[in-house]
Amino acid sequence: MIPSDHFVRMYNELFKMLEEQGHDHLQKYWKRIAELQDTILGPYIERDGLKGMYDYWEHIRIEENCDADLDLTDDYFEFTMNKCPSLSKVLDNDAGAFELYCDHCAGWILPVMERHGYHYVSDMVSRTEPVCVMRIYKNKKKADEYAKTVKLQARPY
Amino acid sequence: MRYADKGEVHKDFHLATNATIDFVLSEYGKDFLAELFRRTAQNVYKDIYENLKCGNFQPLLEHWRYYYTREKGAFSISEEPGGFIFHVTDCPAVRHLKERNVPVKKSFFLQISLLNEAWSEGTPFVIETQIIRDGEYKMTVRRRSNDSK
Repeated sequence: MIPSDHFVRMYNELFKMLEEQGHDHLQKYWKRIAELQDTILGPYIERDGLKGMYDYWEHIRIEENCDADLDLTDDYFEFTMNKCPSLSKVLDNDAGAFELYCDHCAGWILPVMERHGYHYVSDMVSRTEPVCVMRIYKNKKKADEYAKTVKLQARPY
Repeated sequence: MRYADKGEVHKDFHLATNATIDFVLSEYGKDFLAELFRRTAQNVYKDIYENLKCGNFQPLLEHWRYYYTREKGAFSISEEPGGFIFHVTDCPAVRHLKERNVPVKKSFFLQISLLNEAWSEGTPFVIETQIIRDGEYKMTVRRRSNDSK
């Protein structure tokens, strides 16, 4: 059994193997994960919009042992990762980290948000430090304005 | 133990493993999946693999005991000449899929058998996986018959 705690290290190996086949193979997999995640996160969004996202990621903050801050405003939901457990595990890994590991988050979150009519901006900050910020807006113009201020925007597609 | 997680457990990762196995099998086939688990067994779990190559199964036993306990699985361990049998009677991964009403396909068990095959490669051990029913299986670690140690 792959323990729940070790899925991300296996995931990291798969990313490397798919990238060896071509970047579009990796993107196709991220989209498959987005389909799975939409069955879990989607009902929260359908029920409560931005507040539903807050509730979902608060549950993730606890279950995945994230050091993170969440914020909810009338315009957006924000998740600030102070220490990402996922990248931390991949960096603490005898197999080594895939260089685009961080991009997978946007790879699955972006399609889910587009499907539900929201606008997602992810600032990865750095691909080698376990910190990042994401904001999800109702209004595209406001999301575009915010995107101009970020350090390293995730663009998975 | 090289990796020893603490705190909460996000069991939905078992759903992601299930979706990943389906994706890889449908898009690339079983050899590609075997390679994924080979890299995981031998590179991610390098410490376990290197010890197996040197004839020491203790890190593997410790790993199984720790993570099946951490995820509240049920299991027993019995000695086997030169090895042991790890008998899982309630697999946490299978249980989680069932709790989420996700069908447990035969292919879900490939994560177990392929990891064990990869851990066996180039070592003095054979690790056999016997699936008994959903959620119950035996993993038998024994020395190869031609190994004289």
